[in-house]
Amino acid sequence: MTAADRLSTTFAALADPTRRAILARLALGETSVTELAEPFDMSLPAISKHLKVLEHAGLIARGRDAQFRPCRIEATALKPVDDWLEGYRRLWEERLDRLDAYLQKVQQAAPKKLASKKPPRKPRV
Amino acid sequence: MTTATANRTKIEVSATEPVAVITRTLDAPRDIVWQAVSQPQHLTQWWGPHGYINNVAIFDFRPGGKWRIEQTDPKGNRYIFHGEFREIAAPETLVQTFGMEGMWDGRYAVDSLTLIADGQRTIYRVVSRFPGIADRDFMIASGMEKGMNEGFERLDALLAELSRSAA
Repeated sequence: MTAADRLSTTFAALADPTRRAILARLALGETSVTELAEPFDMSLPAISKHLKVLEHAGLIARGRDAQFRPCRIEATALKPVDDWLEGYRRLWEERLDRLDAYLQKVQQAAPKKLASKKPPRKPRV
Repeated sequence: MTTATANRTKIEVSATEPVAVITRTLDAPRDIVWQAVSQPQHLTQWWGPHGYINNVAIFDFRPGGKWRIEQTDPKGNRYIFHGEFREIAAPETLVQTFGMEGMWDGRYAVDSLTLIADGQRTIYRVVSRFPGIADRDFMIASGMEKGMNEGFERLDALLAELSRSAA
């Protein structure tokens, strides 16, 4: 899987409120599928389906025990998402830094014009 | 998801909607910011990365009007950005499409810019809407590469300068 494919898989896995809730629960610690399913109004097979999606995206790992297969969150799974967003953020940060710097330049060049827009202050009685 | 580690620009992406939201407070009154984002002679001064030359080939500033900016990097590579203005309400709202030739052919983002006056400062907020979540992720990833390269090039330049002054 390429990095871009993996990212799409991660986002697809996150694009579901139940799966995000499962991740939120797993952030608190490892748990069994039965325990995990408890707060949801869903059958075990339905929960298992969601777990498979999360596992495929590398967001969670499951124990080898065939019967219980406890789930835990993969701490490193969200790293590519962070990296991806960080590059985009930097792109915008640099662009808007330039805009800000340019705005300062423009304002320094014409401070009188800006000041004259203010209405004259009335003396207090 | 949000990332704003000690930076002034906040980026939020939704896991369920194909959008990215960019927010930044600029240190200038709204009228001035509006001029800088809506007039080509101002736009060319800040729009592209440092050292790039921007040529505004088309800038038909009215709803339905097209825009096209040709960018040349210091190595002579050309990048063409283009789109269409959809909604203009000075000095507050500017909605336009944003595409990149050769990279995102047939795909574009719809960028809705809102300028919110905050005393002598202005809150700059763009909601970038992509055709789909997968498109957003791809388009962001492809745009990012350039930004990262630029970052490394600047680092190289800085290192070169430092080693010169140390010599």
